[in-house]
Amino acid sequence: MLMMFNFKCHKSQVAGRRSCHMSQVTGHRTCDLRLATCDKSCDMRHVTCDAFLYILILLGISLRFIDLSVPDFATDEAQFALFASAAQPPAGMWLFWLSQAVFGQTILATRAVSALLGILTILLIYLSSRTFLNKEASLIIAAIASVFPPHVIFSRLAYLSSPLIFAWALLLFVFLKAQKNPRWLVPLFLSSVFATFVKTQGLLLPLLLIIGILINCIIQSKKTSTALLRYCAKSQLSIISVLFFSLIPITFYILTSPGILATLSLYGGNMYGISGFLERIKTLLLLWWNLTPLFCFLIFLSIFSSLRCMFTFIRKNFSEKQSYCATALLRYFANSQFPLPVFLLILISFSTGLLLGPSHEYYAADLVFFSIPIGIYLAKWPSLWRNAVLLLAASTTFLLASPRNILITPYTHYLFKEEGYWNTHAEKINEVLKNEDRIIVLGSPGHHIRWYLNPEVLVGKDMDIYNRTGTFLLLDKNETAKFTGAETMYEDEKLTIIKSQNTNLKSQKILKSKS
Amino acid sequence: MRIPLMINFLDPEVRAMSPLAIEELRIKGIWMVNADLKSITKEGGKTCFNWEHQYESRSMTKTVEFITTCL
Repeated sequence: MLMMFNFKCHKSQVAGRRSCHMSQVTGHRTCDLRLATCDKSCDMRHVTCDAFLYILILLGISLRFIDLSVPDFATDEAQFALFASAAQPPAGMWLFWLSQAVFGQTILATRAVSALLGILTILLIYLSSRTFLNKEASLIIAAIASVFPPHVIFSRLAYLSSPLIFAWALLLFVFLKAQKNPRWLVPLFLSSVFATFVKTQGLLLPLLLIIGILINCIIQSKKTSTALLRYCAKSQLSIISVLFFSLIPITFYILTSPGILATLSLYGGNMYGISGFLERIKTLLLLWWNLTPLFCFLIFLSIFSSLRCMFTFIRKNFSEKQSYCATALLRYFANSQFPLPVFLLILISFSTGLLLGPSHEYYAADLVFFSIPIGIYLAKWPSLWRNAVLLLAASTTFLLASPRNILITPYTHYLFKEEGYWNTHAEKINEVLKNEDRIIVLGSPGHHIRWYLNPEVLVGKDMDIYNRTGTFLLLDKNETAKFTGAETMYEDEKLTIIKSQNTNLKSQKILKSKS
Repeated sequence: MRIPLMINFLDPEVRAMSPLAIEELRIKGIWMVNADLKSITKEGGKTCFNWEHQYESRSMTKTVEFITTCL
């Protein structure tokens, strides 16, 4: 068992028993002795408290299954649904494929996978919390996770976010179990491999776990290096080995998949990394604020509370020489209520958006792991105040993700305000194209075009279409002017379909050679 | 096993020609996700990329066609 995990004996204050939180190795008490205990009023109304939390959880579950087929498939979703992304490993896409194989190739069947995994994530977060917190605090955490707005939204969409968060939550739960019982080592290996094969960044958690355990091991030990090695070998080797071996399959997969390496080199220079760091921070915070202002505030409060807790801990337990920041931070998390994987998931959920694309909304769904520190923080509050905050939080989520047939507000998420264009027009467009075997799309077609349209679609952007006959679908209305004498087969507010005998476009090749 | 295929990319000439080979497919209007690189050969001083292309959408999966791009 890891030395960082603590012996807990949360007992009711009302019953007059103590609530303590001791490290097995160092013997340090954590700074908050009231952790995760229920206050008196809550304990008196235990059933009511639980019922309220269960209602919130049920609300979150039902919100995940509403309006699944309202928004159009985005290009990424269509790519995953068609099992056609070269930039990602296959496990997540395979889940979408499996659902389509069983329930039919529909948007509903595809997105239902995300919804189901989103709900199972709540369960896993609850079960993980139960390994180091009491039932009350774990229920609060589950309630927060269930109404966490970006997670609700992305549980309705067929991105890989929901499967990845599920895989990380599964790894978190199995890791915490494996700390206590070596029987969980095989599930640990399998869940780690699964996490790495759902999405490329899935490997971050097992990789950081290995690094974190090693650093923690070195910091915790005050013995000689030989004793340290012996200690690590004894207590940590099996876990580290399992995590290390679980990274081997994905390493080979990445090294032998040109698509992943090509994507990394394509976006490596501008989208990935820390270039324009302040701008990234600003974009990220604005995105979070727009999605979930109240939860942003709760995240801030929980971090502030943790930092205050950390400084108290440092002041009490460290000499001036020892309390340099990095060591102190790790020591704090090693001895506090956060197990290492929770701390790492919080770190990852913040940094993926920052480093991989701050304007990408789907990274905000990773923030659902902040439900754990928020829950721990709120568990210390009087039940009346806590429930009021939870009710307010659930209300903001309901305003953002309410069922369309009940309520559309100015706060409703933009994807769910109106029925998607392709969902409502694809049938009509396919009727127009029923005799066409192949069409050329001009503009910037996403992969959703291949999902919605029946004929074969050629991407016209780089094609030489001079004097080319055929049917053209123009996503940009301005392109229409380039065609003369063409027959317009279909036109609406978004696109035009024309049948052309030839085009008056200058050959792109000729233009290139002239320039 | 794709490892032998990836070994070709250790050759700087292959790496230099790769973007051009992709460009050739794009000129044909092909979605890159539907094209799978099968082998890379050297023929008459040229680097040839051999692709297996199969158009896939929700409603159809076309028959496989083999495309060779020599540069």
